[in-house]
Amino acid sequence: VLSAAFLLLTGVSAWSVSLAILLPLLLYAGVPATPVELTAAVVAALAAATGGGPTGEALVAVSSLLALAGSVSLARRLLLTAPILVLLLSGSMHMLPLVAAGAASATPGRPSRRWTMITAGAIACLALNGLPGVNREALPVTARCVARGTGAVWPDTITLDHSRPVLRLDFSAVAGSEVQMRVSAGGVRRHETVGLLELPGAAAALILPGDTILTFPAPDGAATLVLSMGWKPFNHPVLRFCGATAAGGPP
Amino acid sequence: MKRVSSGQWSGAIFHAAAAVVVFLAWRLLGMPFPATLGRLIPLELALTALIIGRRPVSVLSPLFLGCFLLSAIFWASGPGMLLVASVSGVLASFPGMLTAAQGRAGLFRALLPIAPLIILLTLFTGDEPHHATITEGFVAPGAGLFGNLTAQHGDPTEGTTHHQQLYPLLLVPGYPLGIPGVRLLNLLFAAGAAVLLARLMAGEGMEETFARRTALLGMLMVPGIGILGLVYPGWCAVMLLTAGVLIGSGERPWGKRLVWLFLVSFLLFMVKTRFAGLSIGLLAALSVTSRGWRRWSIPVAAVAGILFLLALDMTVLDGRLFMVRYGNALTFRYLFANIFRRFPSVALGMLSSMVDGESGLLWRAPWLLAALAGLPALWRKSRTLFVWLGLPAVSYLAMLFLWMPMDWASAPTPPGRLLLPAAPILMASFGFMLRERSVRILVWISLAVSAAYLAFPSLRFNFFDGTDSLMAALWGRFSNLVEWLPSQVRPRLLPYLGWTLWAVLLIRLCTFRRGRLLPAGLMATALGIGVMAAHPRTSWEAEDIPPDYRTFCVDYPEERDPADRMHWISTVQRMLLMNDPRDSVRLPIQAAEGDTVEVTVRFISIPDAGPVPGILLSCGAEAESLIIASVHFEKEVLQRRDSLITLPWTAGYFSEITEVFRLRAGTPPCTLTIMPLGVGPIQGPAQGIYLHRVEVVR
Repeated sequence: VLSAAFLLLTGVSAWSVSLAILLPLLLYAGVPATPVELTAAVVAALAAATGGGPTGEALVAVSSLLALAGSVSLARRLLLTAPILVLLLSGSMHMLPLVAAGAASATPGRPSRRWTMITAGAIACLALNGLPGVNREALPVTARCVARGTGAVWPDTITLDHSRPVLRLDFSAVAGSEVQMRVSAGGVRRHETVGLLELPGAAAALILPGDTILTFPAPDGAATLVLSMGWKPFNHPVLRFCGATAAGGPP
Repeated sequence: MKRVSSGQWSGAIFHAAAAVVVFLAWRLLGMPFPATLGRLIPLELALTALIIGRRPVSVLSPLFLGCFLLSAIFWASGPGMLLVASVSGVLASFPGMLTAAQGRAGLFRALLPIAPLIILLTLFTGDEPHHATITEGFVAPGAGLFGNLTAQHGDPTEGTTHHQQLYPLLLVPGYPLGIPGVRLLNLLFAAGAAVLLARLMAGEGMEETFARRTALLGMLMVPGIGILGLVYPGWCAVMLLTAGVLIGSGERPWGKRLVWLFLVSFLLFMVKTRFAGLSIGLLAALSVTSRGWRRWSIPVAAVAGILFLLALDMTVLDGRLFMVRYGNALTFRYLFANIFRRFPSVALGMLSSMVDGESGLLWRAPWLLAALAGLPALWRKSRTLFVWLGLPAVSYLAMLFLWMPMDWASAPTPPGRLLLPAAPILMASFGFMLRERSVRILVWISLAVSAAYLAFPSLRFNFFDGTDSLMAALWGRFSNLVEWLPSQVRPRLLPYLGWTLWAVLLIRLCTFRRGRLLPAGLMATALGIGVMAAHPRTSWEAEDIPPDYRTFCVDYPEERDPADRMHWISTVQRMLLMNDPRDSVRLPIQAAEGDTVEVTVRFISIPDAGPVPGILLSCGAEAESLIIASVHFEKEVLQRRDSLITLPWTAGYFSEITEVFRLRAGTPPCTLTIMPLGVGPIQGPAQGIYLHRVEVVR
């Protein structure tokens, strides 16, 4: 009843369907029995409270895996792979090895073996697909823009990492004027490209580690600043947009 | 706590191994902040291994480590996942800290793992540099170790600080070590307060292990954690208060207790003027618990003592103690106005201190639900604790809310900072509730919030603009949830009423059938929040409109510090200033072609050396405009006060206009566009439309 009401009120999405499966499994006997199940229920509650989105979906996956590792009932463990399967089928996360390991780990009776199999699945997932959930098509962050005289400034400093890899800058109101942008990149072990500034059309600028000042004519449309470097162990790539100015009107 | 292994050294071995695992996982997964969080969380676990010694490991520690590993794998999935992973990592050492908090120095030892996170990671800001600069004034005036800050909001004149001198003086031993030194002393004050509180509760029949654990939890949960180890006098006051209660409720002769209590009360006042509320409560408790002539002699002696101090202050100390800052007619007029004219604001402040989404305690310290539910039990089990901790709390809170009805939250400093001195009675009542299994869920949720504050200290700083930093980290700044939360800055009756009734229900559930229904109540809360957050927004506080939906426009005032807005008359919340012809707002709305869309817009319109500004709304098919000027409040104030007051020509001193527009929707996708009229290059700085709120009804 709780799940049906939740689906009705929030609408059908990968997040709401997976939660609608997960919640009854966690709460079928009132208060969860073991500390692991209780923690999984708290994580599921947090997932429910997020109201959806990628964080909510990731929390459903974490809660399901926790419950899978800690639940004492075999039938429940098998059913607990379903919420992760829903997320996988919805295409929001590439984590087939983790789901396979999770499903396989449902059978052993010992929790330590289940933890080992889930860990192995996570390592396989990283090796084959990289970090789950990194989505370059995700909604970009948009930088705030303020008018200054006949030009404009983007005053905020915004940090991009794998959880938030794309920044959108709308230049249409100052098209043609000269833009000066400060970007800082770092967190990598080699001197290689960390990010890209993509302008409408085919133009792009590579951003290397260190401070970079980019000067270019404002395009008629939006540009994107992208953390282009993929996940690599022992690298923590970060791209920091440190503000931009578009001085004067179009020439 | 349940143990996963009873083997000796298992706790130390587990935490040492966990430190290595977290360190390696952080690097392997490429998580952000490898040099700070990626080192300090493993260090926290390593220090837990050091303090736990031969004690066994709790079942919760491996569980939180597992939770860290699982959430760390998904850290890139969404902006909130790094927070969840870091919180799990920090929490992994908390069970070990609770285990280690036994023995004589246990409470001091237990703080060691989190000390580096507090001392090295938290911004040195707010009142901290001001207190530290006064400390520096005693040792090496003008040395500039803390930035040489001088004037501050709240100072009566330039060069005259509003802070008392005793608290900075107590920090002198930490001065040679700089910021870590003065912060370390504050950690010692907190640990000292916890030791005294544990002794107080143990003296009233609570099991010693539970008393120590309760005291440690009191430090680790909001409001205690907010300023734990920071240069604020809150924990110092709690230490003095508990010392006063131990002396006052003890077995010594009445005369000695009276003298000691007068001394403690004086010290509390000397630490910070507002702690005089605690002093009054302590003396009132002694009076209430005394008999015969002794009961009535205390108020008389207190009044005589205050008069003597004031006379001393005026004649010998040149008013430095009190008179320079507060001994003037304006202060008393302000106080009387708060009691007789602004009592609704005072009452709203009191309610907000619990349910306000941005600064209210219940959102970030749900353990208080159990503490409030446990007050009747405290009255039954220990009347001494109830009276001796309750009266100071009541008199302190009365003083706080009458003195600061709008800025009791003291934003942008950590939430609950000013409420901490009233918390010991709740910690004591909570101690008696801790045995209930269901209540422990509240403890761990509260500890999770504390872990978030430790890992990301910026999340504890709010700006009294209706948006909580921690909630924004999880839900995003533009979530629909903001519309449903009570906010003193944006007061609306329904959210206040709804959440207050819900809080009362949850408090009742803490004791009803021994709390068996509490988890269901908490799950229902989470699901309700999820439903609210899942829906798209139809009403917008203008400053919350995301950049995607704006062309230019400026947040007004640009500075987020609430001190700039505190004395505004029309509203104290931020707005969106549209003062450039290119400024516009475009909100997506769900409407079919030809539908009538009803839009309510609240705004302030200020002409300043330019034409009367206006506002233009369009929904695709047609546009409507309104050219109007807001009324400056100066005339109204002059009529009421009969004295010359010059109010600034800024938005906070103009009347707000509410206008309903009915527009026909154009071809989908439909966008509501709002633009300013009558703004241009030749105008005064205040000219423009200050957009406050947009509500769309289809």
